[in-house]
Amino acid sequence: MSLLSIKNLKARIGDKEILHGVNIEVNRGEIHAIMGPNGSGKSTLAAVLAGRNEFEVTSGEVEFMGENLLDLPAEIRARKGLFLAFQYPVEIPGVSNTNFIKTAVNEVRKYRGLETLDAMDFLALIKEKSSLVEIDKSFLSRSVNEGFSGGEKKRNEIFQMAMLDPVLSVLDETDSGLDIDALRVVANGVNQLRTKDNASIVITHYQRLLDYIVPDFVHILYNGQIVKTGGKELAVELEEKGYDWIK
Amino acid sequence: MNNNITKINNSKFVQSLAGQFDDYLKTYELSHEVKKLQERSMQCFTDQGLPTQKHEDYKYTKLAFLNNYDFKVNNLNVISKEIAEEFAFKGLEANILFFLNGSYLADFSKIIDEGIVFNNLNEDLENTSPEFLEEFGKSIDICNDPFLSLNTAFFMDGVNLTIEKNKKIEHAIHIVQIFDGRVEENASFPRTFIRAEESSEAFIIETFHKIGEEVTFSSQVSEVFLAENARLEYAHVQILPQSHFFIGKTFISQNADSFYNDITLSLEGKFIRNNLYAKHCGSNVETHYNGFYFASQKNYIDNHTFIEHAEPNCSSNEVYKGIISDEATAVFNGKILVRPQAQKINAYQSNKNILLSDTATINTKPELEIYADDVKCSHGATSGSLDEEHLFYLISRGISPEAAKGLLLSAFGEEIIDKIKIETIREQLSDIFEEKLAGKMQ
Repeated sequence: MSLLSIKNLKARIGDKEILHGVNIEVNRGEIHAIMGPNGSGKSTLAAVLAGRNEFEVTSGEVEFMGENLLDLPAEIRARKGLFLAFQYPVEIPGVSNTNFIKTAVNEVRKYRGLETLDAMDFLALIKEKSSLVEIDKSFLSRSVNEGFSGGEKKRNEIFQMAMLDPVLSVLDETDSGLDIDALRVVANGVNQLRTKDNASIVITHYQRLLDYIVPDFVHILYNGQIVKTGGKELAVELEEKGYDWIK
Repeated sequence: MNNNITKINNSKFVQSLAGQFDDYLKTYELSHEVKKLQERSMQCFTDQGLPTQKHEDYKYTKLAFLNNYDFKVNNLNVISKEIAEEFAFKGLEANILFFLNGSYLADFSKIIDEGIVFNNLNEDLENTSPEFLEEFGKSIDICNDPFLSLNTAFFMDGVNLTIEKNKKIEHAIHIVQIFDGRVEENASFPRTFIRAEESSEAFIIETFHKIGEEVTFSSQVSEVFLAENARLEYAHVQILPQSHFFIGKTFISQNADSFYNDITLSLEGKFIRNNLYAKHCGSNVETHYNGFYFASQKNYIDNHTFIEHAEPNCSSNEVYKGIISDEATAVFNGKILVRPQAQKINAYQSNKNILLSDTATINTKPELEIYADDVKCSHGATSGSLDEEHLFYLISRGISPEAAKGLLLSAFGEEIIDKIKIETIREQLSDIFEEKLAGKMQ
């Protein structure tokens, strides 16, 4: 049984259909890249998977660990192990990063039947995971993403991913706005978190990120449909020929 | 302001209180001057009567319910030390002054710091000195508002506090005001008189509490004077049960180079009406108003603030925030008056509200009157629900929608509670707020 199975997924916002029937199968241990030009529906797909309710699914199925994902509210999807790294993480003044992450980690643990972490265990976990993305402590006591640079925001996303230990991560244009050093840090974090039991979907416009996070499969999303699927060499080919090539 | 308060002198509230006035005066041996002042105030009170919503200042304030009760003016009650000390902050070393129905409880109160001179007002009222009369009541026009008149007519005791010149008070000064509804429906009239002398510095926190089951009413007046270069922070904390009606008015006069920071926290209360009025009497003055209110059930919380810029090169900064739930109503009215001579001033005002239900109401109104041309004034008011983007971000991490709302609302209110710099106090107030919030999120 695949970890995630998307079948003929159609979704719209308002009257505008954006996904016109998407099919993807993701198994544990795999990394899938979804590439596509602006407006092809990449972020919509990520948002639909995460459970954003401004998008309406009009037909199709999404199965996640054998369950109908579309029936689950967003927080349950997260607790089951779906993680979305946002393209534009919001700044939330007044909510401390530590308090936020602690609440999230404990809600997820409770759901999975694990004991909640006390302050000591939580600090130990933070120490372990923050080194993955080279986050320093001051960063954690600040308000969620408030005043963070673009790179810090993306590192915070991967840090949260490390803390929550998801089964399936969807990284929505995590490379956008990153310089090469930050990109390397972020990619390194993602690679270290990779196990044979989890999987990632890396959404990107550019091939650059895929030099660091090497995908098993590359899907090209164009105009709301997957028009081509291949191995990692497809990304290179796409980079050379441009998106015009697939039209 | 004007005096066109619609009269309903036949209201039970007014008649009942006026009827107790003579007996009340006889209970005390007051100096001739104070007696005259109180008689004049009672006359003003009965002339004005209970204001109706036709009066601009009370546009949203329904007061007729006060006629449903039979309030007795009695400040001779006593309580035990144990009951009183329940209301002190736990683990806080502080100067602490207890009052019951506005009367000083000398036995449990204590001043621990140098540089504080405290008298209870009752002593001053019996033996008024020319110096006392020189300053007392000078920042207010007692006939300008019925509750100001009423307080001045009936107060018999209160705080008379001086922070001495050049003294920086190390610990907080905690004034504990307790209202007593154990025996009867009670009306009380706390009075507070604070003088911060030249270059002094202090933090005063006044908290309001209620004991007993009967309905109680209080109408407070505080007068605060800041001399040159004084620095004063004054917090008012209202955590009152459904059976208390609260009206509080604070008048601040600031001399040159002084700094005043006000923090008003209305965390619970059936009916709360706060008036803040600061006047700049010298240049280079700084005034901060911070307020947070949490109105729930069918409660009413009303903040009327006023800053009078009467001198050049001054600044004022006002931030009021509120959470309104259930069928509650909140009012914010922020007036800024800039007189012609008040050039080169900065005045900033903001009022942000979060409505948690369709039946919650906020009436917010900035009122800027500017007669000088070289000034920077800005104001903004918002009301709405929580930011959907913020909520989704938290929920997408596995946090339940209820807990996510709780985190955001907590952050919203804590911004103001954080203005209290003493950690022991801040944490206890924060816990009270969080507990109340948790109750709303269930």
